[in-house]
Amino acid sequence: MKLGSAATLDPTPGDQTPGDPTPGDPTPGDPTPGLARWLIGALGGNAAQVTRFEKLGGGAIQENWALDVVLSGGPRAGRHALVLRTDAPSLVASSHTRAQEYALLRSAWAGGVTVPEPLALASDTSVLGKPFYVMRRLAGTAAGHLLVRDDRWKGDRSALAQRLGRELARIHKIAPPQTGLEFLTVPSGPPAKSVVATLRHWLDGYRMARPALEWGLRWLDRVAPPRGAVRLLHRDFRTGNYMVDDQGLTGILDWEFAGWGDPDEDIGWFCAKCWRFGAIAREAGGIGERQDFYRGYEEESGRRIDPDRIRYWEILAHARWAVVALQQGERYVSGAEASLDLALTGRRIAELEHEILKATPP
Amino acid sequence: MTDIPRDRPEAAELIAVARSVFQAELMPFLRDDLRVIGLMIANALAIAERELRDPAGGILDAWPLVLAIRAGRHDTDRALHARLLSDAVDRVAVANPKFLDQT
Repeated sequence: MKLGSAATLDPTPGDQTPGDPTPGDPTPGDPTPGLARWLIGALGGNAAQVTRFEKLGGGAIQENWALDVVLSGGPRAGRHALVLRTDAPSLVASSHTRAQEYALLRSAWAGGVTVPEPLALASDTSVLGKPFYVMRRLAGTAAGHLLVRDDRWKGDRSALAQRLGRELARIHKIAPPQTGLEFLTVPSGPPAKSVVATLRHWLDGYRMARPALEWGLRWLDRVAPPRGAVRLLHRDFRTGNYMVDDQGLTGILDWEFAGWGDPDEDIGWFCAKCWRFGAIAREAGGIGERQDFYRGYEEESGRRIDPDRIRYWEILAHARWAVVALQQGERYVSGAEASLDLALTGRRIAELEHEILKATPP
Repeated sequence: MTDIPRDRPEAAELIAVARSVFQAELMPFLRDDLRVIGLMIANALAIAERELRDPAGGILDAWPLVLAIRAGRHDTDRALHARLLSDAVDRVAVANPKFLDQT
């Protein structure tokens, strides 16, 4: 992902452009001329040349495109390595729109959280046929299965775990109300009960009953912690959703599930066994020790973490991931998306229910 | 399940041989960036094969049970918990048997 490595115009795959190619168009379905015009308006300058526009891997819910642009004139003249983020063919109901995600990214950026700098939003559909936004492209990798195994991180795991704890604490300093985040609902009662209610509501519309998952949800509802301070949660803060290069963390990604809630929910999600990518002995996201992650969080937030509370939220994390796994499997089963990855995610429900039941005996 | 004998090799046997040939003869030639897809294909075939050999039975008409669980009528029901756990173990044995070794 080095800037300037792609000096020639990269022909764009046509499959993300809606509509049939126009006869006589020299490059049918090529969105880059329209994109270049939009970039001039959004970022300034008098000319823009798109030198790379290429779909990146990952992202079951959104599409990410590497976008290299050379701007002439204006305050941002020069080369820019960007990411363009837009919707995948089918959506998960609980995720935000691109415009909302952009507002969340701006709040995080303003709060000093290490995120890709948000640059501009296209909320109308005239440029690509669907809304999108652009942000700076970060160096490194987000691939969870690499991060938990790569020896490059052996010496720095402690530093990375602490750094992630500090980043999460910074997110949790953002409290309601926030200008631009009015679309987020503040839970009225204990946030844990709101999460349980949301998951049950989704299960009500699912084509089959899930008694094992319901057993866990009933347990979680009975022993839900009381309402405490309500803060901004990332709600998908885990290995796989942050970028790391050989210097360390480069940014926190994927803000599509963020919302107001109990900060312990994010801590539990990060530490939950289902998000350790097989490295189950390293309890902080498979990349580090739990105490290092906690130390970074406590130093930045000034708040002591209650391990029993986190244990509760780790069980709830399995329940929430179980519902998301069902949703992803359903995107394949319904015929919306012929994805092997989604199909296999659907079958992870068994191990998640198993884990929930083991943690919730009567 | 029908009593009429199926032609051999049957579905599970076909999947087994397809998976083993794929892993032994094609996987070594996959580029690094395609290996993940290769592993997913092998995994999907392995799940399908295990399921065909030993179809795990779910709980029929589980909605009334779910409503009773939500209403708190099974909060102390050890027998139900044991039954749900044993059913989950059977399903993990099909979907991801390695997971049971880790826990």
